[in-house]
Amino acid sequence: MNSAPGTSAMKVLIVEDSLVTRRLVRACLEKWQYEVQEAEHGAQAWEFVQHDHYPLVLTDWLMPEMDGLELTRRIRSCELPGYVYIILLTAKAEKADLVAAMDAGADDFLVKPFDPDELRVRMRAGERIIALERRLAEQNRQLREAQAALVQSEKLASLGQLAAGMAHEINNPVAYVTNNLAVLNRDLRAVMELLQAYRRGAEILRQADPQLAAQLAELEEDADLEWVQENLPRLFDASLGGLARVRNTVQNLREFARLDAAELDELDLNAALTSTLDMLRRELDEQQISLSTHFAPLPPVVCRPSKIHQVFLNLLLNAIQASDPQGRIEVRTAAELDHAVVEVRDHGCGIDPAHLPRVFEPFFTTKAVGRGAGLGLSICYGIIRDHGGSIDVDSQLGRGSTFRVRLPFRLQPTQDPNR
Amino acid sequence: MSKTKKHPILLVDDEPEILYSLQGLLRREFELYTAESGSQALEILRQHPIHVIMSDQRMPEMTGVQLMHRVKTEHPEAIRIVFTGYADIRAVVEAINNVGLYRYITKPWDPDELIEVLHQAAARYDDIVEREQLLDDLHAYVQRGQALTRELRQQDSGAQDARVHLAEFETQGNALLPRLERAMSGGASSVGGASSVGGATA
Repeated sequence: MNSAPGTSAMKVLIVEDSLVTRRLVRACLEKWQYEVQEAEHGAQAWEFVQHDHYPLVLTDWLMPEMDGLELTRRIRSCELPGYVYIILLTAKAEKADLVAAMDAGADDFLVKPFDPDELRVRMRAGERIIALERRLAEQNRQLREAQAALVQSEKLASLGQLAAGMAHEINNPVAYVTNNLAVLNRDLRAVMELLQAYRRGAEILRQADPQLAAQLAELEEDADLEWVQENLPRLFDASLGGLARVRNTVQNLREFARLDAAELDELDLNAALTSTLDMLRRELDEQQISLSTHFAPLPPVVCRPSKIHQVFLNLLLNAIQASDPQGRIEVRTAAELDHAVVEVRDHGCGIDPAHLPRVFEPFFTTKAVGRGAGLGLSICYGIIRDHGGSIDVDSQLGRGSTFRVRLPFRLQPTQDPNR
Repeated sequence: MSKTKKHPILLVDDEPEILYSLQGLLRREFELYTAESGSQALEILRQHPIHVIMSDQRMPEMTGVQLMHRVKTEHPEAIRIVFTGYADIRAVVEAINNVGLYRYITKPWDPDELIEVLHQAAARYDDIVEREQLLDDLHAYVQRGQALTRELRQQDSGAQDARVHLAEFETQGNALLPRLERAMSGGASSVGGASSVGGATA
C-alpha cells in the first residue's frame, strides 16, 4: 500500500467534529503509514498548524468555532514555512460550493460519504504535489546559494584587481615619504645640535649685539624650542610607525591579490598544522585554551607550503582571538576523494549572521580600528582559491565558528597560483 | 680610494621625488649624479667615472634591466643595482645573472640598509679596482724579472748552481705570464660574478 515519502511518515492533520468520521479516517491513514493528528474544530486545528508543520490537512467544512473554509483562508493568508496541501471534506456537492472551497485556497475536494480508495488516491495526489513543491524549494535554495557564492567570488576578484593597482600606486609615495622622514630625522637632529652649540655663545652675543640677542630670544620663544626639542623624537617615531602600518597593509593587500610568488612543493598538512600550533603555543597557554586535534592520515598535498602555512596561522589565530579564556579549539583533518579537509573549530563568540557573508572581503573587520586590518581571512580566501580549493565557515553567534578548508591533493594545471 | 674622496654614484628613476629623496639621504656619504631615464643615465656614464649605478626597474622607454644590459657592455666596471616595486621583482630576479646585478633592492627601502648596501657596493668596486691594479703590478714585476734573468744568463758568469736556478726561475716566469694575462683580460669584464640575491628589504 501507500506510504509516506522518505524515512519518516508524513504528518497529516485531520479536522473533523464528528468523532466517528475522525476515527474512521484515522484508521485508514494509519494503515497507510501516515502520522496522524486529530483536531475537533477549525480553531484547534489553527493552533496546531501555527506550531507545527503539517504538509497535508484534511478538514471538514461545517464545524463549530471555525469552519473548514475559514481555516483554509487563514492557512493561506499567513506565511507558513512549508506548503500545506488542503483537502476539504464535505457533504455539499453543488458546483458553487466547490468553487467557493477552491477560491478559499483548498487544493482538493472530497464529497462525503467517500470510500477509502478514493481517499487514498486523493492523498497520493496531494503527496505528489508536496514532493514537487519540496524539490522546487530545495532547488531554489541551491540556486540562491550558488548565486551568492558567484557574486561573492566575483566581488572578491574585482577587489583583488583593485588591491593590486592600489598597492602599486601607493608604493612609490610611501617609498620617498619614508625616506624623507629618515632624512629629516637625521638632519634635524644635527640642526638641533648646532643650535645648542650656538646657544652656548649667547652671553658673548648679548654683550656684542644686545639687539640681535633680544631678537633671537623672542624667536626662540615663538618657536617654543623646548617643546620642539622634547617632542621631535616622538613625532618621528609615530610617523615612522604609521608608515610601517601602511607598508604592512599594502603587503597584505598584495598577498590577497596574489602578487607574490612562492615555490611549489609537497606538504604534509598534519605536520604543517602541528608546527603552526607549536608556534602559537604561547598564545594558547596565555588564554589557557585546551586544544584537541584529530588528524586523519593524509597523502602529501602539492601546494605552495609557505602560503598554506599562512592560512593555517590566520585561521588558528582567529580561533584563539574568538575564544574566551579556558576555551576549547578543535583542529581536524580528513581525506575525501581527491582533496583534504582541514577544520578549525572554536567555541567562542561566533559571527553575527549579518556579517557572515562578508568575512572573506578585504578590510571587513569587526575589530577596533588598529587592532586588525580585516585582511587575514581575505588572504586565506585568495590563497585557497588559487590552489583550486575552497574555504567556508559555519558560525552561530555566542556558540563558535568552524572554518573548513578543502584543498585538492594535486594542483590542476590551470590552477597555477601565479597566474 | 682615499678616505676624503666620496664614491660617485648614479641614481636613475623616472620619479623626481624619489631622486630628490635619495639625494637627501645619500648626499653626505656619496658624490651623487641623477638621471630620469636610461638614456640620460648612459650620457652621464660617458662623461663621469661612476662606481655604482642604482636604477629603478619600471621606467618608460628603457627598463632598469635593459639599462643594466647596456651598462654591462659599455661600462663593465660600474657596480649595478636595481631597485624595484614588488610587482617587478620576478623580472629583476631573472635578470640577476644575465646582467650581473650586484643586488636588487625593494621599494620601499629601509634607509639605513640602503646606505649600507651602497657602501658595500662601493667597497666591491674598490676591491675590483685594487685587484686589477694588483694584477697589473704583478704583471710588470714578473716581466721585469724575466728580462733580468735573460740578461744574467747571457752574461754567463757565476756558479753553475746559480745558472740552474736562474733557468728554473725563467721557466716558471714564462708559465706564469700567460696566466696573468688571461686573468687580467677576464677580470675586467665580469664584476666578480657575485650577484648576491636578497636585496635590502623594508
